[in-house]
Amino acid sequence: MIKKTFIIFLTVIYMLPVFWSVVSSFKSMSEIYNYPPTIFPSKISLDGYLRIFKDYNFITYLNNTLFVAVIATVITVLVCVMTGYGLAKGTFPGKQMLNNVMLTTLFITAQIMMVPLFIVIKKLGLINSLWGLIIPAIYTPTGTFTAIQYMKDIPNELLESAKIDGANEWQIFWKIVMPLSKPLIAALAIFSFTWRWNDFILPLIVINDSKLYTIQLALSSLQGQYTIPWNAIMAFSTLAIIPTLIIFLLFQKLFMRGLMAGGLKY
Amino acid sequence: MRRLILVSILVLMFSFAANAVKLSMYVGDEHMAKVMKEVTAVYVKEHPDVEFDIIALPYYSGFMQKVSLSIMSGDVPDLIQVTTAYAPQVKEYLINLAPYIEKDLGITPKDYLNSILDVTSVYMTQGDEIKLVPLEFTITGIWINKKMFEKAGIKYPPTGGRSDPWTWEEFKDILAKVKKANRIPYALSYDYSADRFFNYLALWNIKVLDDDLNFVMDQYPDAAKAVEEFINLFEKNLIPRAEWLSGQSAQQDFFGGRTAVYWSGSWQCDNALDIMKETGKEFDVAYVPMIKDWFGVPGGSFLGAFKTGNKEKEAEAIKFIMWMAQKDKGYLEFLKDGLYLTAYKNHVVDYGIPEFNKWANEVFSKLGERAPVWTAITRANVIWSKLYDVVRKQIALGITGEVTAEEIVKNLRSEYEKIKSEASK
Amino acid sequence: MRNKKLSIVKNRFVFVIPGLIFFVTFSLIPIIAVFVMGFTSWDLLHPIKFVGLRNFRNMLHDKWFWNSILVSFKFMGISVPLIFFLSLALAIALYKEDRFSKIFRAFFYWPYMIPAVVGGTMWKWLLSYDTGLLNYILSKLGLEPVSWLEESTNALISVSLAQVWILSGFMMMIFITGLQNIPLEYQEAAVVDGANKWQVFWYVVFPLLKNTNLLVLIVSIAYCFRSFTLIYIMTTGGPGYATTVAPLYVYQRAFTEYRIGYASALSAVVLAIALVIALTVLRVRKSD
Repeated sequence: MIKKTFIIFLTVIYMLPVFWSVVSSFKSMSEIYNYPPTIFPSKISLDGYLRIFKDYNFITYLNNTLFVAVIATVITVLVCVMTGYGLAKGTFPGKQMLNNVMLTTLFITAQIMMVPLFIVIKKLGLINSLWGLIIPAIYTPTGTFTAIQYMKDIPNELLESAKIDGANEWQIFWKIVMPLSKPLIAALAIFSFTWRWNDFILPLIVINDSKLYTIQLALSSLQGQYTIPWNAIMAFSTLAIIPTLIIFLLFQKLFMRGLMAGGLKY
Repeated sequence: MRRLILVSILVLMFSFAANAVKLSMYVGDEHMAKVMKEVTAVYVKEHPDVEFDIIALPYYSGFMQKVSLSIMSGDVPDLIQVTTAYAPQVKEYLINLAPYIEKDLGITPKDYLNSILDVTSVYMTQGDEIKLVPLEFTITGIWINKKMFEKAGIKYPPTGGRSDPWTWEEFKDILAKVKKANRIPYALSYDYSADRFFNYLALWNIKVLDDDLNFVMDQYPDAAKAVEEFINLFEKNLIPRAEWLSGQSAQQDFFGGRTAVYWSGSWQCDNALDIMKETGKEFDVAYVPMIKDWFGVPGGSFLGAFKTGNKEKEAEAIKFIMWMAQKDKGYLEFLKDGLYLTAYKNHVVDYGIPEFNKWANEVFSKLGERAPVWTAITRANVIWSKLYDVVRKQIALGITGEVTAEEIVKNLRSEYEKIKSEASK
Repeated sequence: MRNKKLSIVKNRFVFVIPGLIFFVTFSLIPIIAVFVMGFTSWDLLHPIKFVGLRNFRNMLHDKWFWNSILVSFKFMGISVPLIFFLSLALAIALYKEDRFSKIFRAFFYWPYMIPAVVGGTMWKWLLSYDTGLLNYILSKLGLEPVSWLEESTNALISVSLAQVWILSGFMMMIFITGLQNIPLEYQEAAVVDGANKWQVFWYVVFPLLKNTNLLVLIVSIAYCFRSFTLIYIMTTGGPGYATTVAPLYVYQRAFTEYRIGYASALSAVVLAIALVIALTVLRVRKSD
């Protein structure tokens, strides 16, 4: 019980900013400016919401972003699991060095890579295309590293005994490793969807056509030079989080108890 | 036979629609994007063979990066709306409009430039060529909370009971008075902006750069004093420190009622009108104080066309620009849709809103007329753009007490030297 | 020929190939390009000029750059330990597959689902000295308002806490993934041996989490090191340079001053420092 109250208390603190922004999305700009701040809007104003539907093609941006996020997630999860497996359980020369090299990218700031990355994307003809938002994002150092560490926990004996039973490498991967990786796949799917959904830099440099805008790009263009329509921005954010939340809740189903007879006592 | 004609008509119509020239325009402000959509809709009614794609980019976090990358890769848009801050960098990639002004507008480029405020036209030219036409004109000015001033019994120029601007000493007094009378925690809101600080310095007749872009601030004997007086306003709690130390919104402080005065500009007009309508608060515009002189600092944005190599699109883009360059055609539509101030001389516009008419035609126009050309020239360059963040950060350090006013001036000199040496190599 | 083909399957290199292709094209090549650009002077619009070691020489005198490295270390020093232990605690509390856990996990993961721009804005509002909700509540309670973001130390702590707020839910999910793989028998055996809950955790479970611990540590160090948008939105690096972390400093040199060459040289140094940190952590873990 103590545990539960503690969790609920923390939740209140965690969700305070979110609550504040949802509530603000229903205020008019004058009320947002006002001091003292009101918690609940004194008069519910749908200005913020109306604005994004009237002035912006919210549905188009939603479709574009969904397309990118879903396809990128499917490919990314597959590639990450494979790469993680190869780098954790592989026996090829230079494995450790490749491990280290691929991990260095964890520390690069996206901002400074923007310029050469842009040139690469342009040379490959992916500019101004939704595929230009998917393909460059497939390799993710965080996802790969997560997969590597997860795969390390899979006992080698399992794989050896399968080999003795006559299975080839592909069968081992598909029939043994993949089913054991369900929690990993669920985690990677959630993370990858979040990353692609919230990506702002790649769409900024790749997309030139307002019909191909993604949600984050549209949201960022709401920041004007002189005035920032906070209620519209908060309305946008409130709506934009819904798909990520849905994916999160859906994929939680895959967090089954570790199939290696896992599970904690508490 | 009839079927053949019908089919050919359909094909023609189809190809006509399919042949609609699509022009893309980069815009750096969301409100501007909305206005441009309305304006281009009017244009398209008369020119149905053109389509516009207005692309709004985030001004502070992506506009110039996107534009730079576009220029570097050659994927430039057909049209661009660019502010005084970025015009210097972008100009050389734009089409020379001078021959078209001659041809389509029937006046010489020289006469055209003369019909525009000097502080605006300096941004438009590159040598003998004209690369940009003006969009909105902005000018700095003082916003005041009318009811708070009434309560404190203070008169304000020009429409609030006195005609001459306050002196600097009077201004400081008024700030203290209005703060006390209304029991508000502060008096003045001041944007965390190097351009705004530039306005303050300029009223001391102190320049940061001269017309040849040399750093001259340290040649003025009272430069350190001016900086110190500014920092004092924070120390006396006349300006909220948070506005310059943590980017707290000066706009929010003023319109929310925490301050009574806001050193901002003409771009706040429609915001002010909205809030006045919704909350019953009353705002008005006043002259800046006279320190050694008094005037506003000009700004604004412009419209240009990139050299894309696509002759058809370039021609259509130029046609649109020429429509926008006429103060009784596209430009008028633009001003009214956006509630923007005009950049043309002797151009009185009736916006249909009496309050706005008053602000525009009685107050801001005066502040704009008095603005000397050097306030535009010394900022319309890449060096000022690079100094921008350094200037305001140094002042912020002064407010926290980490550097003295003298040190600030010295530091600005050394930063300038660094930037200059890099630019020249 | 046939033998070679078999061997890349046998040593499992074949599984790495797709990821490797994406890595080389979209990560490795740009990184190498950044290093090369460190030897140039470029503003994106005009032709690139090679300037040899000039950028690196200038860097030695750039006191605000080294300050930003220090600020980055301070920032990580506050955030990373908090993230590690908080997310571990949350994971232990919420790893079970019951309704309560599943729902409440979403609340803690929520901050990570929000784009950093929006999250940073939310905190900036709440912490605003004159108009923020927190100071308003304090004043109603008769307390003095706090300079959350206007004072150097406070600002650093505020952005660090905001970073913890963002990342802890993410790390919690990683911990949960790891926790769910720990076999029940090990713990049961320990309980039979007379260990209490705390001892079971610390001596049995925690060591078995070694790979997950390393993952969380490295990833949170990397994220905090790279963190840019959050701080930019909350303080723009202020007051003065107090919260200007290395990536923010580099960004300002690159994109508000158009010094791409210099910024690349700075990035190369920042990356080198980050790698030293990462390798140190890996070394320390290996010796366990």
